[in-house]
Amino acid sequence: MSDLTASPFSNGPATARSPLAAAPSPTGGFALTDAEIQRIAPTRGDRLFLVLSIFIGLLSGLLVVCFRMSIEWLRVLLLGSVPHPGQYRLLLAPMLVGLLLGFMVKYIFPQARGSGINQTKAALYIYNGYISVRTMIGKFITSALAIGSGHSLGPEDPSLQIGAGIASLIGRRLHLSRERLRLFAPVGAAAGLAAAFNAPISAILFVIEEVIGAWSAAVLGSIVLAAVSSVVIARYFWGAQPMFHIPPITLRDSRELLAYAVLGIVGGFAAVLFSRLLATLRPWLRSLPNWTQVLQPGAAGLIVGGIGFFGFPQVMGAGYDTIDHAMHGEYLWHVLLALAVLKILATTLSFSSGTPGGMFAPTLFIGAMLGASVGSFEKHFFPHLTGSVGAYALVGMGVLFAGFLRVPLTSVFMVFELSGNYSIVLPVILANTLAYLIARSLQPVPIFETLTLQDGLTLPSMEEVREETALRIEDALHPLDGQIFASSDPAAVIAAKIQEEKEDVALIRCAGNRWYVLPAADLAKILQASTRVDQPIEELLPEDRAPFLYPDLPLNETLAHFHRWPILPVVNRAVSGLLEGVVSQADVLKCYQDHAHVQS
Amino acid sequence: MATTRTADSKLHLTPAERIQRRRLIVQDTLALFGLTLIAICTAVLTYFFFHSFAEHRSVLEKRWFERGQIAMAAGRPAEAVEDFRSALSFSSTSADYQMALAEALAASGRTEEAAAYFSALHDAEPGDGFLNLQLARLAVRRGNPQQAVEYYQAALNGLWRGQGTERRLQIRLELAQYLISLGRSVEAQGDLLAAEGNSLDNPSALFAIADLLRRADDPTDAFTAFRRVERHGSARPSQVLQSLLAESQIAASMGQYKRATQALNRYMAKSRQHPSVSSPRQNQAVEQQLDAYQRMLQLIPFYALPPKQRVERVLLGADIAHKRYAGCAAKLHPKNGPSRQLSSDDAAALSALAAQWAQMGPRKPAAFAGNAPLQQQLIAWTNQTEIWTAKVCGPPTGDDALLLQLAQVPDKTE
Repeated sequence: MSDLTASPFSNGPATARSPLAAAPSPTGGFALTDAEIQRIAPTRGDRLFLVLSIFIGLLSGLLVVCFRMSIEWLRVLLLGSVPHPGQYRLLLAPMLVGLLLGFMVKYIFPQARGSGINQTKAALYIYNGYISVRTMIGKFITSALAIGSGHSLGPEDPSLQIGAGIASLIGRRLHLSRERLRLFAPVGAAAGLAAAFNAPISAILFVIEEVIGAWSAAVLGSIVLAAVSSVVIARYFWGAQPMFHIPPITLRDSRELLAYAVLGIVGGFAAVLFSRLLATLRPWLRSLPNWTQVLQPGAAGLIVGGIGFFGFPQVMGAGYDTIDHAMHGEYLWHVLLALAVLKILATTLSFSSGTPGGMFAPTLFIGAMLGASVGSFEKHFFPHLTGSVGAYALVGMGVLFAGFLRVPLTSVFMVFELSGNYSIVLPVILANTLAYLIARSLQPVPIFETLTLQDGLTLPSMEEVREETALRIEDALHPLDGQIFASSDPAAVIAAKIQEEKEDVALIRCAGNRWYVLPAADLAKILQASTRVDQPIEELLPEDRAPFLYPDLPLNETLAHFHRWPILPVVNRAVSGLLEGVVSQADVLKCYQDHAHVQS
Repeated sequence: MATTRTADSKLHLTPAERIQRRRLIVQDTLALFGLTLIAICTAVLTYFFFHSFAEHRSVLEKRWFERGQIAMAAGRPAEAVEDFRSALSFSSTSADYQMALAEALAASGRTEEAAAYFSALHDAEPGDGFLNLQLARLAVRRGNPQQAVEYYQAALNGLWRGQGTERRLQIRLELAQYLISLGRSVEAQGDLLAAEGNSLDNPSALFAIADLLRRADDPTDAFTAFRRVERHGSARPSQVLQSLLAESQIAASMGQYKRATQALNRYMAKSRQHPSVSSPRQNQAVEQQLDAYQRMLQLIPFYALPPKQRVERVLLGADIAHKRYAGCAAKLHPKNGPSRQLSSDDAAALSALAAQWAQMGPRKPAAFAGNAPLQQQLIAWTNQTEIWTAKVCGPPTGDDALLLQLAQVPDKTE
């Protein structure tokens, strides 16, 4: 069974209506449906949503702190305080823990497989925001064991899912509506990620870029509240300092941007290589006989441990220490390059084997090693370059993040937040953009989407959502063929004109620059109601007027009005009352069809 | 309750719905209260868990740090690097550990890495004197003079926790030394004079400053500074003796042999007061030097001398130089064995000198009395002869050696 296709309700309360609608209350037998709650307390949802966001943030922050501590404890316990090549525990720990994880993931926590991001997206788009408690606990335990024992995975994505799980649990217990419950998943995800990264802006942006796919005013406030609350908790325990420290970068010569551009290109190709390896190895391992699934994490652990045992223990675990060392220029360029390549291999193996754990930290690791390697190499041959190796490593992290995870905006802000260094803005933007464009052109389907497709699910592609061309009213707009009538014109004159011109509708400019669209068929009724020949049409028209529509509004804004108006006047925003043109339902439909045709 | 009632009436709720609404409010309040309790309990548990975790890390990091310190003290910086790095992995933000690691890296010759660590620390505390000093030293190693001088200046102006005056003096001396090594003596002189002004009560510092001033081509100020050391009440006898030697050397280099002689005389007097400080061998060397300076004073045709005596000295010098020339020319003559091959310049100089000395004829005092240009010409020939013979026939001895010294600084002497 795949990571996501198993119903999450199998481990939770399976109710016919919804897990939230009529569940028994913790305070007694009283139960209400969504509609009843909406009727008796219409503002309850909004208010609770904001208050609960803070609780979600606090609890996610606390759990993520515990999660990271567990990883550290396990690391010291299983690998020793400072792992060195040649220690047999480096071989044994990841292998034995891998075997245990294989069993746990297969028989106890099947939902804990994978990184956690796609699982959270699945909860949002498929399971109405439902993430079971068992999944959450399983994710905590299995990911901590995997990362602590040296599997090449990171704690951020599991933290994201743990946060989403907390949000889901709280929402269910408070009997929030289905819609609210669904929105809680990204709120919790942002809180979990923010606490793990100590980077609230990046967490918010990531959830918007990768989980929700668009800026949504409905959840933005809650996401911000939750992320800030969780970061407050995380900083109370871990401190407020940025994750990495590098000196400020002064770009003395703008030609040096070329050096960073080279890094962007190299990072783009590395991201494609990493994605393709994952996209190839994972389905192949899954296609192996069922009994091997339990053994695969153990085998992956043995190989990863072997890499550590035979000289590169840096690739084991999340690897933040190594990133820090690389930023301080502690490795030669070929060692850095070797670490980047080995980390790609180790992470591909760990992740593809079904070992629970995230991709963020390995991505940052690979990017940092690649960046430091390129930086060292370039500085060796062009010693006049002023950027430090740390600067290249930092830019490299952003580059791979943009190229591999396909979140360009998050990648830029993440670099700022992880380093607390804004002086690097130009190199980061340039290199990240290049990497993103290269990765996109060579690997059109982002890795998370590839993984969900491999799991047999079709979740919305956030990259497509972001880049979707929105149709606007101006795309369907055409000039008015007929005549514009004044509201003071007599109805009989308008009727005669309409008849003469064989028009279907009469467009009448009313008081206050409002418009009325009068169908020819209705004109006869109006004439019958008139009391004198020269009676102005305005006195005979109903009170309602056509809506104010402007050319730049989304085209779908028109759809709600066609049941009342056969055509819709579109006016200029600057000059009140100036008619830009009209749109009909047929125009709108044709516009959508043409657009779909072009897209396909 | 009034608010609830108003809300109820606005929503047009039935009595049953009102009851449900109130129950819902109570239920939500209880749920939030429960959540608060859960959050508090989780926070307390996390706190204790974290506390225990932090303690364990603290033990480990201290253990590694101590190992690193021991390795550093034992002169094994490469080993210390690994230990400090392990300590840092448990406390990545500890400035002390970073500093220790940076120092170990610098000590083990890993300049770039050390610079990266110091730069990161400097970023956090740009005004720290120690960090700026370390970065200055690393910049020196990396051959970046501009950056090195900037960091030295920042270290001078930086914050020092205790012993700021002494530290700044040391840095100024280090900076001056570095500037001298770069050939930027004038800049070094400025720093040294500033340092001298702040060190008048410190004979050791004055001595170091004087020595550096001498190396920075500022003999006048160097002489003054050595003089200050000599006259300083708390200066050690050895410092005084060394200062007197330096004074004599500087004075001699400036052609002031009277001062040089006076300094050596004071040296001899002082060494007799403190026989344990100077060795007999050194005293003997000083006595020889003193004799040489005194003889020098007898040879120099000072303008201030009575005209007759000045002419006698000019002629004495010329006689000595002519003998030296004659000996050297004879040595070079092919009849006296295999002669060395003269370069065309030397051969031309030899011919010119021969012509000059032949042209001069017998040197009678009456011919030179009152004829200052002729005296000056003879002095010039004397100097040329000593320089040329030293070049062609090897280093002179005795009076010729003294005349050669005078010939090398004729303007100063005159």
